Amino acid sequence: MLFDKINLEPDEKVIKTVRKHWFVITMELLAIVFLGIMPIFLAVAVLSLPYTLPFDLLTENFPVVIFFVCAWLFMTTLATTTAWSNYYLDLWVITDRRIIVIEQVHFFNRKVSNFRLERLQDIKVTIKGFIPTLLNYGTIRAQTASAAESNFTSPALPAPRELQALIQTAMDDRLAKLGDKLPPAALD
Amino acid sequence: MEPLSPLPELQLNWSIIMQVGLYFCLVTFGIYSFILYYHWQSYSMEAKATIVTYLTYLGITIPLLVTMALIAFF
Repeated sequence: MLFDKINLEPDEKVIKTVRKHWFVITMELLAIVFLGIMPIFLAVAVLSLPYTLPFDLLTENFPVVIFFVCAWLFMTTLATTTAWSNYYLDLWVITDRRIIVIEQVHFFNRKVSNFRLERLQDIKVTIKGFIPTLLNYGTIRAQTASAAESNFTSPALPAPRELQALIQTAMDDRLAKLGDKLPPAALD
Repeated sequence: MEPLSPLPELQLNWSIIMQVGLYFCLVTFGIYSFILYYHWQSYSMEAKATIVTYLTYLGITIPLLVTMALIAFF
């Protein structure tokens, strides 16, 4: 399982795990389901043509039609499973010491980044658009004291303001706990 | 010089096309299932979600493949 691979430090506590908003995966799945039922629309369209030939072609080769419909559904099932896996395995783990951002782009593209709370400098939340405002999801952008490329952005996170407050609190607690043991970069 | 003999006629019927399609789907299923299993075993955080995903995936794909096999071979 995942926590075995992350290697949490001794006494490190997971505060929260966050996935992208449900609306994102719902829209993806709906698009795939729509593709899945396309053969039905196609069959209706063919049968509604003002010719008798397509109808005969379909009825005489009915098992063949069923075979290809099954093959099509099989492929859309694989697409659905891929979309679901990319959604579910893509997550943020917020601990009392760091933020672990796991980005599952697709099966062969996975990025795991660690950001220590004491190095975080700024967290920005953007909620842009009608649906994101209505459903309360948005983009979180965090800037760290390290090099510019270590800044991170995650779109479509649910309740981003609450998440921002949670990270801010965890960051304050971490800074208070570390006291004068802070690394110099964190004091910039 | 000998005259060219005509090319043999290619006899492709639906049964052969479906059998080839079925083998393609079976190979895809095998490779994809392995990749899926590896990813969920390695990166999932909840055993329950992993099992539900496996069961849903197999519960949909296996009946489809069985239906395809029945049509292709019988």
